[in-house]
Amino acid sequence: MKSMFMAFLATIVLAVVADFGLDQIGFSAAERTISPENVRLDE
Amino acid sequence: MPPRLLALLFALLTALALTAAPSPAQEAPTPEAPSSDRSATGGAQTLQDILARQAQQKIDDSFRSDALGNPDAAAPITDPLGTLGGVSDAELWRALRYDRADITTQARGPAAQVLMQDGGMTWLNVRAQDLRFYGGWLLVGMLGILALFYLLRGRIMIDGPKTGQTILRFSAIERFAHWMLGGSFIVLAITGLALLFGRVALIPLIGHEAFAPIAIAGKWAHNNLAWPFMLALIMVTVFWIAHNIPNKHDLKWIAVGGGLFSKGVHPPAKKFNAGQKLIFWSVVVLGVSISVSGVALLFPFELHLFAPTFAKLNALGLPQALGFDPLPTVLAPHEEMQLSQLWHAIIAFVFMAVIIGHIYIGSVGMEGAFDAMGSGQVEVQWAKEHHGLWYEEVTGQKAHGDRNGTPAE
Repeated sequence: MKSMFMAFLATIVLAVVADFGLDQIGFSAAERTISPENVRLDE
Repeated sequence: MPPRLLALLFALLTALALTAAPSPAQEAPTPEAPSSDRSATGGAQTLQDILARQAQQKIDDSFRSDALGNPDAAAPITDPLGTLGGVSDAELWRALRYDRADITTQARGPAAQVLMQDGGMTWLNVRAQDLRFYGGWLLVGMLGILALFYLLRGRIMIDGPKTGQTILRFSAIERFAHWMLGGSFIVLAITGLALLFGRVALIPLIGHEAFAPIAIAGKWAHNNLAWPFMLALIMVTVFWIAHNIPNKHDLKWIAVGGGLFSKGVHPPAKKFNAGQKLIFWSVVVLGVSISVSGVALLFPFELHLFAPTFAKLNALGLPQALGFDPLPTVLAPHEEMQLSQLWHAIIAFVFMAVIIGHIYIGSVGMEGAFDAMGSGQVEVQWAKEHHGLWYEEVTGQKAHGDRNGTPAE
């Protein structure tokens, strides 16, 4: 059963890393649509 | 209450619900509306058009989609009765609706310039009606079938005398990959169902205030658990693909129904029997499909999967051969997202139905099966009965089982 619990723990760790990583590289759906960089203020 | 009685009750309730459930409104083929004389309205829609639309008849609405004004023919604003561009408000709204307006938006995000999209209503209706109805009943039906099966067959027990000895069936890394895949899948399934059925099933039950944090947490989990799911999918595919190539023993296994319906029947099987192979290939094919459509949803508007796929299907003549019109090959970015969502959900329902069967036979449905993925060690008698050829390969000893049938896990 140790493998099972290790797998569940790794699953959670990977999910957190994925969330943090995607945020770090600047790829979030919200940023791509509403962040200041994506709003045209000069025209 | 005895388990069999519970199973009977559940099977009866499922059967009753399935027969009594109303199906979503079935749409009759849309009739064509007769052509309308619009000379009296100067080309604008007539009462006949409005009535035809209310009767849900199909209308050639090019008289609207093409009536977008003509700035070139308009008198300059400096002239008497001149206009600002020769386009009325109604014409501008029509241009927006048919995605033909030359507009500039402050938002630079993908597809930000599509302000209206008619197809969104079709997606909304399919998602809110057909998807929930058929998907929900597929899962309930699967549970009902399993309850009935349990009622008729009971738990599949080890037939021969137990030896008290065990043999390693799956290594630690194999179990790790299996549980990473299974654990992430279960959370993905539950959160996906909560997102789809939340409005109709959870909000009336627990209220908006309680549902909101559940939905936010569910969305976070659904988005981010996709990655361990995909990693584990690659791992199990690499570990087990060689063992899941079909062979002649699978035909024997299928011929006797895997021993699912009769006691003491154990056909020969290697590491995986035909039923397990079916599950494996289902997981691979459905897993890849759900992953690709999921990535398209995770990164909105980045992947365009359906237009090229439709073009290929049209080139093959598949829709035409089935009596359909060729599929659309020019899709708005939003349509791509909507189709990805529908495809993702359809695959998910089929996937869940398959996995419910897998969970059943790997736990309550068969004695000793869970040990294979629990501790990794299985009873030797279990191995001889269900995977005789594998047992012989691993130990070099004969499996003295009656080789007539063994169920899948």
